[in-house]
Amino acid sequence: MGALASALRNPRAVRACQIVIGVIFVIAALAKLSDLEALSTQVHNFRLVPLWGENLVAMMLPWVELTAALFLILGFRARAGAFVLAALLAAFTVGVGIAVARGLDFECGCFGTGDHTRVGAVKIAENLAMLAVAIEALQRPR
Amino acid sequence: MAGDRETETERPRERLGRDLLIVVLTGVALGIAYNALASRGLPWIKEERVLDSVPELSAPSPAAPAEAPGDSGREGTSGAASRQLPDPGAHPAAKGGASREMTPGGKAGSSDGAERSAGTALAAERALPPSVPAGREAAQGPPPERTPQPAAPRDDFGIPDVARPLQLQLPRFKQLFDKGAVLVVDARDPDEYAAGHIRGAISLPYDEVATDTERLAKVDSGGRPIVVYCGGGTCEVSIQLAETLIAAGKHRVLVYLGGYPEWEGAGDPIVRGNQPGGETR
Repeated sequence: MGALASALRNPRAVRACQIVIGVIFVIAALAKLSDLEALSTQVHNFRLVPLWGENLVAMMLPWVELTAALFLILGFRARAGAFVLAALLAAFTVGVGIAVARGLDFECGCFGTGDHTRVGAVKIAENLAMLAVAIEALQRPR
Repeated sequence: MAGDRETETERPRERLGRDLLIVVLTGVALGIAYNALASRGLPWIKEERVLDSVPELSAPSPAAPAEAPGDSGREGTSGAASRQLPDPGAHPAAKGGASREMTPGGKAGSSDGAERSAGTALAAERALPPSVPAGREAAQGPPPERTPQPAAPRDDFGIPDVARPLQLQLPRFKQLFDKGAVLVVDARDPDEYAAGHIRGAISLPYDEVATDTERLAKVDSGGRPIVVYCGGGTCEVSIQLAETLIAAGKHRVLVYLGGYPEWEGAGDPIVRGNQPGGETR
């Protein structure tokens, strides 16, 4: 184990990342929950989910985010929460990437209707940064 | 999975798998529960949104809605109109119960049954200068020589007053636009509006006004139908804005699905800038 690996497993660093990513996702989930219909439209904009499934995604996604984030913050099954959030972030990043590659241009809605960032490089960079924090958050502290 | 193992001695990977399941299933269960309890819960399976068409004046049937704009000059279009435009006031018997509120369901039957209506609504349209809020005028003062006083409130310009948006194709829209018979609303973002919009269209960016009931209430079409458009293609904020306007109490809200690209591509009047009149190109 190198020094970097052990630094990554520093309990404080892991805990800090868990709280940071947890809080970000609680905010994102609550923002999405404020208007499920708008969220369903946002899902539609990505054109990755079949039409019949868009409402299901809109229905479940914020709650999965919220559950995972709260578990993470509370330290209850925290690694599982971090895994879920990291997986979601990876999926979001790919989703935004595909949308950009297809030349779509719309507001991401990643943080609900108040988020006016459009899909694009900035959003992808943002997601990758959060993904890094989430990966740190799922390290087993030692 | 863990079988008879003690929790403490469970291998971490198994435990993580189970925890993941707990997180996801809890989230899913909460989502379903919340949606079931929410006042504006979503249906589980999303239905495709298909807008019914406004009865087309320039096309023989709803199955073939949009003629190329060049094919239908004003005269030809008007001729078609007099054959197809339903006139509930003059022929209530011909339409039966559909005369008061012409539903798009009754629309299919109306195109062949309205030959005798002789375009009274069109006569009303022709009599009006373009800038007058034509809808209300036509409703109150149909030309007396052509129409016996209608018993039912009539549909202006053949546009039924139903509680959902109808779609409008370019030839018909152009016709109404030329007469100034509609209020045109641009649902796109302000920067897109400024870069070019249909002449006279007011800007109501959906993202801004969706929750702004005051701004929606201020929209005054002067009794005319409202035509909402956005960027065409896969753009749907026009439909959403139309539904929002109807929810805000507006009547006869139509959606021009071709949107700005089709309008501009057909060489119809556009302007730039952030004012409806803009700067004519």
